[in-house]
Amino acid sequence: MSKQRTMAVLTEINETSERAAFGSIHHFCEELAAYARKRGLFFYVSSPALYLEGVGYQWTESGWGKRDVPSANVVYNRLHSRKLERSPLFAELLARLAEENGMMFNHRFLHKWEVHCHFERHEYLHPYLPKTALWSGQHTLESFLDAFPSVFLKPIYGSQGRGIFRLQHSDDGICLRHSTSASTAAYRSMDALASALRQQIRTPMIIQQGLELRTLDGRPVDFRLLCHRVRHNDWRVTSAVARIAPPDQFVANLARGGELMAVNDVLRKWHTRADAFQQKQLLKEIALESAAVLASEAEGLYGEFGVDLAIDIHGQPWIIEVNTKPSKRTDMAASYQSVRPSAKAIIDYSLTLMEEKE
Amino acid sequence: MIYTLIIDEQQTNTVILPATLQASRQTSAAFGSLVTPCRVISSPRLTDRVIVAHDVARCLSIPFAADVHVFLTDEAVHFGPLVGILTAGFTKSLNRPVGSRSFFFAKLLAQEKQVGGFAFLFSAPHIDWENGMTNGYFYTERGWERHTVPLPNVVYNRLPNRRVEKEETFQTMTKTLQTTYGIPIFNGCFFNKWDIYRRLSAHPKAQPYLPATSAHVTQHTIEQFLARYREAYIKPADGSLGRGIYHLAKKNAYECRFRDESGEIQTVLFPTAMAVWHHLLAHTPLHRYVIQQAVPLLAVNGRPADFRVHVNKNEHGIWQVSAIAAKIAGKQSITTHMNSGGIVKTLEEIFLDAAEREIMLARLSDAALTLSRCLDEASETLIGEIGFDLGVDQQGRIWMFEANSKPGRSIFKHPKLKDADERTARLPLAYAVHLSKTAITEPEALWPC
Repeated sequence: MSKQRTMAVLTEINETSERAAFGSIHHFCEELAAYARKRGLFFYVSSPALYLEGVGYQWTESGWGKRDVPSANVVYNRLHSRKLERSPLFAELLARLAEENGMMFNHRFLHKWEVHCHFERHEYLHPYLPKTALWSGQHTLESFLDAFPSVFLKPIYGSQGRGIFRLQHSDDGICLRHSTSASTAAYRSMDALASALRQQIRTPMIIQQGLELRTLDGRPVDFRLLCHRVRHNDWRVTSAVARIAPPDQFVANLARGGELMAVNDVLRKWHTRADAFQQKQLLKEIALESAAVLASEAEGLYGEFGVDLAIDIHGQPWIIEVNTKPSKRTDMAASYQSVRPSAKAIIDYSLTLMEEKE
Repeated sequence: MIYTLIIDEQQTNTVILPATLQASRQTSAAFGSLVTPCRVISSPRLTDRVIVAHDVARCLSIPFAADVHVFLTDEAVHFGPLVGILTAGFTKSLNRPVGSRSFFFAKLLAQEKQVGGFAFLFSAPHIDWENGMTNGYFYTERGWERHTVPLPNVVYNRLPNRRVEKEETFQTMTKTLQTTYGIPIFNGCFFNKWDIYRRLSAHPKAQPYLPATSAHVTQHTIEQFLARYREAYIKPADGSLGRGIYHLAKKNAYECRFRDESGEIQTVLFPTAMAVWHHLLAHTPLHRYVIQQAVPLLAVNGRPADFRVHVNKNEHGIWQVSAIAAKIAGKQSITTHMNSGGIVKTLEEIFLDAAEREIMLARLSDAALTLSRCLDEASETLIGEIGFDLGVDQQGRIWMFEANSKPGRSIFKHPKLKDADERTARLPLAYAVHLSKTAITEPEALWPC
């Protein structure tokens, strides 16, 4: 009668090589498997297509082995392709889960504009939200450039700091920079700038108030706080790191060559011990509030968010963005053998979901 | 009706009100405890705005333009209300003025937009008694800001614990605010279990909900309670969060269960009530304890459950139920408190049958509202919110175990209680508006001689 508790990770699987590879979360999956075993949980990794066939990869001493698997009580969605999440295959998988009374977190990718709209409904978060609008051409551009010394344009589906424009008032007019190309151009007229942007913008963008971030050696710093759900809408910060932008870059993403530092070490360079303590607590609290608000506003179930925060030159913290598929590169295990806290948190939350249902 | 207050840089010595307010003969404007003479004009062109000349706004120390209520007396036009939320434990950081409670208060203060008025956080040292002003922490679109404002129209007491509340500074301060300035304070103090029981048991409508309780924990009462009810609790009269609670049951021996210093549940058997009493006496000063009849609770999935029913006075000063949740005891736990492994469920989750759920909702609401009114009648202080712990026994009868004047908010982590979370943050401010209006327009209703 009592079926063994089962959990699956859903991700893109590369099966062309002799061994299966799970992309950027490959090693993370091994940690999940190791800790799942410790907690008496049957665990496997699958893709939407394989899951519907009842097939998954299970971790054994000799590596990942493909085999028939039972349906899962809880599925942890780590698909990185938004196209796949919008596909009929994924819809079929959701239907199957619903039919079998299974649960899935994180429900799906949330883009930057949705995230902003969810936050905006909560007045108490306003002091930490940079002013943001959906890019709709020259009109929004002018009003933002009138209000702020610098302005960012970010693709709503973008990740890892790709495809971001920075606009800045300068003596030569408005200076336009792009995060992934080295080019800088200055525009004297708003018309010329708008038309240059129109040519380069191919996807939906948000326009956002630029912030004067605090820097280390002139390099902007941001903070990535990984948040995991414990139960109900109670969240914990499982890891926190500072990311220092590479010289000459304006985004701090690791994919762009950023560098990691301990949050305390960064805050202590800026603040007294007492202020650094308050600031670190505040960063954690903002991340937890962000996670709780998003989880209650967005449709579907969420158990993990990567919250990016930054601090401006006045010491005011800001919510930069929230990632529903947070990179596992900022939260490394202490050693190769050990299981990092975020892997434990994912398994623990899955078990809590199962217990609540039993 | 809420009006947008506009500070006008051109006008001087004037306030302009919508004609609909029917101002007449007023010769001054007031904000909190400050009053300044000025010209009061009505304009049919204003509908939902009030205009205050900049010099009047400065005289009154109005910190910024906001949405406000307007209350009229024969002499003055009052803008506001100015609501002071009293707490303690301020840090030196303006980003995080009350440490880990800062976001709790930010959420509370953010509700002021919907309610109208100015709410701020303060503590005893922020009051400048010489000038009758206070330095308040406001939560704005830009975050926390400090502004010097007059003394508030009402004070909402959110002191964090009994120890602080008993401090001389706070006792003197609250007394001065009430008696010298006529400022009403609501939720003036933490409830004492015995005091609540005594007041409620004098009320015939409340009596049926009360489990037998005694403030005399003796060998005799232990014997008496166990003989009559088989099970009883001994709990600190001033306790909270379920700390220091003993569960007693009479089987063959006297079984005493409690949580030890390390949080582990201990079960100790005693041959006689005398032995129990000696054991308890050795650990705790019993004069601060009460003994209470234990009620065999309704079980959910085999675990005892009770209910947190949160009630608030609303914008009309009328009690309303603002949240209901079930708390299910943790495995082997002594109580349903969350810190003992208890979990929160909504009524929808535990009563799957809609008709049964409606009946339970109606009965719990009815009990909580009855108890609130009785407690209000029996109390000398103003109460604006109460968190009741109610139980339903196996015969379906409703019992009240606890009434908390500063109910915890952990139930609101439940995703389905999101609306209740906001409602319980908004209602104290709504009640503060009602109370301010009463204090301004009919103070005799608040301070009967």
